[in-house]
Amino acid sequence: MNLIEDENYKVSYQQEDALVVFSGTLRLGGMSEYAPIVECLQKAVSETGSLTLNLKDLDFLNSSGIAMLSKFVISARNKEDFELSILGSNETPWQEKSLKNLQRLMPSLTLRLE
Amino acid sequence: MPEINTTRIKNNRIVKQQIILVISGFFLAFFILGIAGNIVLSNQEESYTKMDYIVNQSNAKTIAMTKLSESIRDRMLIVYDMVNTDDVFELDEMNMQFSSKATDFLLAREELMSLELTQSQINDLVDQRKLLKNAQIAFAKVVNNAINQTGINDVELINEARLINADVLDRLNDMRKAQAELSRKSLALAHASYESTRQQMFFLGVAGFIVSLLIVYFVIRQIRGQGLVLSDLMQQLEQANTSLETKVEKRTKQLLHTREENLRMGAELNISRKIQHVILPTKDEIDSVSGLKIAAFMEPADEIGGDYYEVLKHDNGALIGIGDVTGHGLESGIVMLMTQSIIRAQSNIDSKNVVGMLQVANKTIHDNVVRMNCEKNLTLMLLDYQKINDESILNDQQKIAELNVSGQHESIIIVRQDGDLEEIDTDELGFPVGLIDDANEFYKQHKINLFKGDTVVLYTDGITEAANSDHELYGIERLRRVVKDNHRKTPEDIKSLVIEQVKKHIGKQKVFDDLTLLVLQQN
Repeated sequence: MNLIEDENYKVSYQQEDALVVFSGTLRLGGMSEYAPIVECLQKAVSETGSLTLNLKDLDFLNSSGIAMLSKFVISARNKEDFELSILGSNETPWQEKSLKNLQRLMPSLTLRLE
Repeated sequence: MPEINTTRIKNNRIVKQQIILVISGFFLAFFILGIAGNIVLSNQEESYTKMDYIVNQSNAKTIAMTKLSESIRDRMLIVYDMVNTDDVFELDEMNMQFSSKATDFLLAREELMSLELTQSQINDLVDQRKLLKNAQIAFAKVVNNAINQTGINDVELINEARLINADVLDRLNDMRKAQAELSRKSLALAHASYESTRQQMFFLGVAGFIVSLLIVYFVIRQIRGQGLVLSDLMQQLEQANTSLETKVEKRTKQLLHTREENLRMGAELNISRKIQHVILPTKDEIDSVSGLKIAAFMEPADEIGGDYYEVLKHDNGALIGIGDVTGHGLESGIVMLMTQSIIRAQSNIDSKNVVGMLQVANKTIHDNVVRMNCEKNLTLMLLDYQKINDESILNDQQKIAELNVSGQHESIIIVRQDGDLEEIDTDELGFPVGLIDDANEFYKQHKINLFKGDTVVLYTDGITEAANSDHELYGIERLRRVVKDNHRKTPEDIKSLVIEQVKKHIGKQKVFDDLTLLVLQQN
């Protein structure tokens, strides 16, 4: 499950770079529809001690998606010595506040807004 | 069905091509066979004429040569007879016969000369003439001697003439043989020409046959192709019909579904609009708050959002709230309604405990949105307004009220009585309500002291993110400016000015988000 996509979005897990890249517009309905992405992220966490999420090309993430990411960050926070980095974009309106909240959930999280 | 139209046009073209092919094919076949027939007929006629001519010539020559030989032989026999007779009458008669044979010879020779002769034949005849002349002289002497009855030397003369004549006869014989050989060769040639004509005829016939076969093959192939095209067309038509039926059925279902969906959405919209409006504080409630003038504005977007504001009067002031539920529609409306209930319920217990109220709201909303499987959350800020009643504080600092703020929302704009503008970022004062199960640690409280004439502006992102046709946002800067420039006006006027400016900015664009604005002013 290294690539999840439909016509609107794409989530790809690049194992060799310990990187998960999100792009497009994510408007899935509820946590149940986000389950495959959660599974992918959990797999990535289990396989590496340091993971980067690149959200720069994710133009929109709905509230369920933000909830999903928040819950993921909380679970990552509970893993000892785990390093999580998030790359975001200053030009995408939803990202600044939401990603800063993720950092507040996990103070060790490296957040880079470009 | 443009595909079928194309096929029909293609098919018409095929039919035309086919007709042209058949007609031109038959013309070609007729043309080839006509040429063949013409060549064969003319060749055959030529051959026959040639053969006829050869045979005629040959026959005439043979007859003439035979006549020549016969006349020579007859004359020789007459000479013999004349030598051996004494009867004068017989001699006379023989002499006449001898002369008449000479005439026969001359006639035959003339006849031969009139025919088409080869050069060697002409040469031969010329040579023979000389020899025959000598023989003639010899014979004439013998004949004279016989007539004059002087027959001395006759035997020698006869022998001489006989030898010459024999030579001539041999030569004539050779000529006849040569002529026969010539005739045979000519006939062979004529035969060969006849054979080649026959072959030509055969080849042309075969060519005509092949052309005809090819035409038949192509026509059959075309017809077969046309049959395939036709059956393909029929299949396409059938498919088109089937898919059309399916499409019509699907479309009908879609339309019905859309109509149902529209009805449902229309109903949902009405309910959401109602929920949002029925639960907002009334003007009377707002106006009854003492110490603080409040102007409130909310306009829902075309598609209802989840904006929320609250003014709950209490003994020493009021609890003020402002929030924005994520997304749009009924679920956002429900979450807004629940939030209002949770806050109102708690405000009856202790309206000063804004942090505690938000913590409870977070947990409650979180558990409910999980149950609803909608994962909505909201930015929510609570401000507890408390008038200062302590005389000593009032006198010392001139502070007449304070606002205790908690919760993450948009910034708070404060324009002091003297025109100074302060802005409080609320990001660190809370966390999206309902986003995570336990967010207690993130809720903080901040105190704002209020003095006479201070203006406080609260807004939702519908205001700052209102976009014009160039996607340019109204923005916080414009809001700050208009509030600062007009802070001495009444809250109602400031509110009207801001809304007017925002709407002017949006122009004819669709309003994408609820617009909520609260202007508070300390008396």
